[in-house]
Amino acid sequence: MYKKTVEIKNTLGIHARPASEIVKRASKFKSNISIEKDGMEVNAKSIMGILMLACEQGSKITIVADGEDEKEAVESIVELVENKFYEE
Amino acid sequence: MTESGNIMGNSKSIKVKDVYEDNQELIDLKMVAGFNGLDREVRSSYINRPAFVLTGYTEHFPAYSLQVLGNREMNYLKKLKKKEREKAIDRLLSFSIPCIIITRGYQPFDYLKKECNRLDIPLFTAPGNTHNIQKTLHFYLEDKLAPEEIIHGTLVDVYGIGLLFTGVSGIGKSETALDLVARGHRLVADDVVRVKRRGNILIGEGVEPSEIFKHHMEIRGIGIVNIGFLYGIRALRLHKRVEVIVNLREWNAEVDYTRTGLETRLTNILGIDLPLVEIPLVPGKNIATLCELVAMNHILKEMGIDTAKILNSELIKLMKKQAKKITRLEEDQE
Repeated sequence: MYKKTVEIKNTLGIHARPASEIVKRASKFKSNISIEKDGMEVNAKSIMGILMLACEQGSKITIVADGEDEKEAVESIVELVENKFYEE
Repeated sequence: MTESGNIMGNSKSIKVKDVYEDNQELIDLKMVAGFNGLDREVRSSYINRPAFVLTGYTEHFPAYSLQVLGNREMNYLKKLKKKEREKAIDRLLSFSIPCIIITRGYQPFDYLKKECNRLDIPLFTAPGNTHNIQKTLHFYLEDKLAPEEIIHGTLVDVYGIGLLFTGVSGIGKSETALDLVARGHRLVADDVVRVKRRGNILIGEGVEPSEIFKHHMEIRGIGIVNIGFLYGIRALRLHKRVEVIVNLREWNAEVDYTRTGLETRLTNILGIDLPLVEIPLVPGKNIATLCELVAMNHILKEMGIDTAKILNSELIKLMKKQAKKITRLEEDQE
């Protein structure tokens, strides 16, 4: 298992577009990937789950992956979050 | 708008003979001269009243159009002296016009008849009033001259929304349509659909050369079936506006399918943009249910309710509220 915590930096937080970007990236990996926020954990390959976390700017999420490509999976999503989903 | 478009850009044409035969009874057309000119072609749905040409102004004259002589034109010509009248008629007939229709039961001047016979320009009379005749012929020509395209697909009316299914042969377009018909929706055409542009909308219909082919379907493994016999009249529709294109395709893991529905994908048919929905086929998916959903969601969007957008903007509001709370908490700690 591999995990990393990141802070949401983009102004609008994780709304529909960033969420679908996360799903797109997550779906490319074989590992089970989940995202945690305030004790709630959802599947990173599910749009509705990610939206329900309502990750606002400044909040922290933990990306957890388990499987053969766990490290690459987590790093790929962290990179997306840190670059503000290439939105701004 | 559409009229000038038709004059300029339409390459389709229809023979005067067909216009005559198709409308003879409807507006009581009688042919009085130019019997050898029935092969002349009409290339515009615009019906012209050639008053300007008769009075002498010949620029911008729509010679491709059907020419209608009504109250004004006939009374004007009547008022003229014989020589001037003949000159006016010559001016009109100097253009290669498809035909002339005299309305309100006016009888043609002998000179007009004689010249139409000499030049093989069909001349008709009709008893009705000019406006109604123009209207009837305009709609008729608009339909006959509309730009069209033949599309390999299946058109079904689902909850009043025309869904045009596309996809490679054997993907299951007919089977999907059959499923929808079994659920109470209506089949317009299977396999080959003629799509016509009328104004800013597209109308789809079957292209069967004869009535005997209408609403037949080939279902793989079963053969040819007649939807009308099997499901009754409620399962059939002759034509329908095409509103959404549903592309059925095999599941491909490499393709990113629409997940949020925030963006509407469009496809262009005959110059009109239509929403395109791509449905990947996977065993166990009920395509008919998905298609009903596509139709209902389209109606909802037309009514101004875009679920994905509404949820997204509510979510953004919620996150803004949360962000403010966090700042306050941090301030409290100081």
